[in-house]
Amino acid sequence: MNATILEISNLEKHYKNVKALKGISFKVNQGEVFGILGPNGSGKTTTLGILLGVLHADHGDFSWFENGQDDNNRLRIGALLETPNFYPYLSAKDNLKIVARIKEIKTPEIAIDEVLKTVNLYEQRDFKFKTFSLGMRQRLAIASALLNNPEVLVLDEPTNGLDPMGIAEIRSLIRQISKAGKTIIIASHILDEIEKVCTHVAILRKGELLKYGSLEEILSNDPIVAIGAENQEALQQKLNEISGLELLKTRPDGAILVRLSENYSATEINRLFFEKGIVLNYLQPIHQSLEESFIEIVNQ
Amino acid sequence: MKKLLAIEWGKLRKYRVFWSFMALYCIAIPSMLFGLGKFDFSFILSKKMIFGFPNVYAVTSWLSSFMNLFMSITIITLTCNEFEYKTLRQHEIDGLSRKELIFGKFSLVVLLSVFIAIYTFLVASIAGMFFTDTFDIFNGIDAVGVYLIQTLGYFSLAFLLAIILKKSSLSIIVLILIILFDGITIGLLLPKNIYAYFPTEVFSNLTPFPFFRETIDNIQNQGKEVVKISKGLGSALSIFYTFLIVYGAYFVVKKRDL
Repeated sequence: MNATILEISNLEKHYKNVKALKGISFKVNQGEVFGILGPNGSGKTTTLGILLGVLHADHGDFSWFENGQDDNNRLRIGALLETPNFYPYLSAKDNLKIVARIKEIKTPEIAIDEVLKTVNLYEQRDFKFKTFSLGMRQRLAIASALLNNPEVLVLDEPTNGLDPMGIAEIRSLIRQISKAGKTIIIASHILDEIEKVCTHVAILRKGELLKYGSLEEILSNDPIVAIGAENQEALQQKLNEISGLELLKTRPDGAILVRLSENYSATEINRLFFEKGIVLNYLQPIHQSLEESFIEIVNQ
Repeated sequence: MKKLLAIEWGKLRKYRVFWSFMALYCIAIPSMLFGLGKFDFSFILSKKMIFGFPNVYAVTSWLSSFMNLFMSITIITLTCNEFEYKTLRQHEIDGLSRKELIFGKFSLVVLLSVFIAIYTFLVASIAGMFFTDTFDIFNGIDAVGVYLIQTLGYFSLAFLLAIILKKSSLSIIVLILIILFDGITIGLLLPKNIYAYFPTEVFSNLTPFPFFRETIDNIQNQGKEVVKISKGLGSALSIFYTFLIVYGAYFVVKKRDL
């Protein structure tokens, strides 16, 4: 069992009239790429804000590195929360120098050059922050988060404002960092982003934790198949008569998604329908994506 | 503390607005003193009385104190920048504690006050050497010390406003209103013997016009009883208020979501 990096229990937070978090608890272990997934306003940023010391929780507790809420814990974390925040009149390099001082980095010059190269901003290191595009700002923020070679990387919507190339680069960067044994916590509303890089997922909605576990656990539902026939209406009717099959939804292309609660093979399904007088002209097992699981979990 | 100062220095070093403010200030003080010298007061005061030791320190401090508002605006700008750029929040995320945030920023207030005191001393002592035959440099220097206490008080107040209001334009307006109108409103509402102990009144009375104190007091109070706080008590009260104000700023930042 890997060391516990973060443990939060029963976190609650409300703003004036809105209850933003209604008692969130989860645990992140070393080496995990932990995705916090949820639609806008589900409490992702609020959760990270509390964990990073900028918001006060109304209730509940959290602990980094099994060391409580000590301010010095954050020196071991690299974080990007919401917007990139830098001094507009300073260059990329001068901005990172300030961060290096806060993080108490021993050899700032080397660290700064290295991270600027990592995010492809080395050429622009002497440009003022105010001249940077949205994507460059986001990359500088990621550079800043990487500066102290952190044990944990906390990223809130890291691909915000990046073009497809930039998104791909950040993804490969995350994988690379994860391979080095670092723990990464990513909040995103982009399912694809989480699915492609995360090992563990927590799903939030309206301040509640709906589900959390490893990606396999979240995805490991009953198998799903897509079926189709000449007569769709008859197909749907007969579907209800067969036990162990459950209608999920009709796809735009007309195929019907069916969840199998009994472990039927493709042949068996075909036979079951044939016995009811339906000839299937389409049958395909579906690998359930996180998106489908997510919609299912959120809609429950 | 060294870490916090290094961080603040990193922000200031290439901040043109700040250096322009400083340059303006540094030009303004000797210019004001020089301008004062252009007037002919010989019918009541000799140049030697005004610009010689020991009075030159009190005169220069009194003149410099007219620039307090200007320097307070510098403090407000520097502090509100941190909210505008959300860098205070970022510093917190990066690992500074709330205490470090507030005292790092407050260290600027202290440094600026100390700089002003040293600069005032330099300008005044140079002028003093021109107008006095004796090189009695340290005679009257306590006026500069008291002036330091005053700027600390004013700048802390500006700092607190900036922390509470977060917007520089709003903070500047409120500071001006406080300085302009508290004397009128509170001064009218409250009896003089209570009002005399109000922070802004205490601060401002630390650098009075150095001559004819009694006559001015008599005119201002129109023969009513004069409530006069001694320099010592005024300084002590000032320091006390400054502590309260800074602690207030810390309290606000500690309680607030950034």
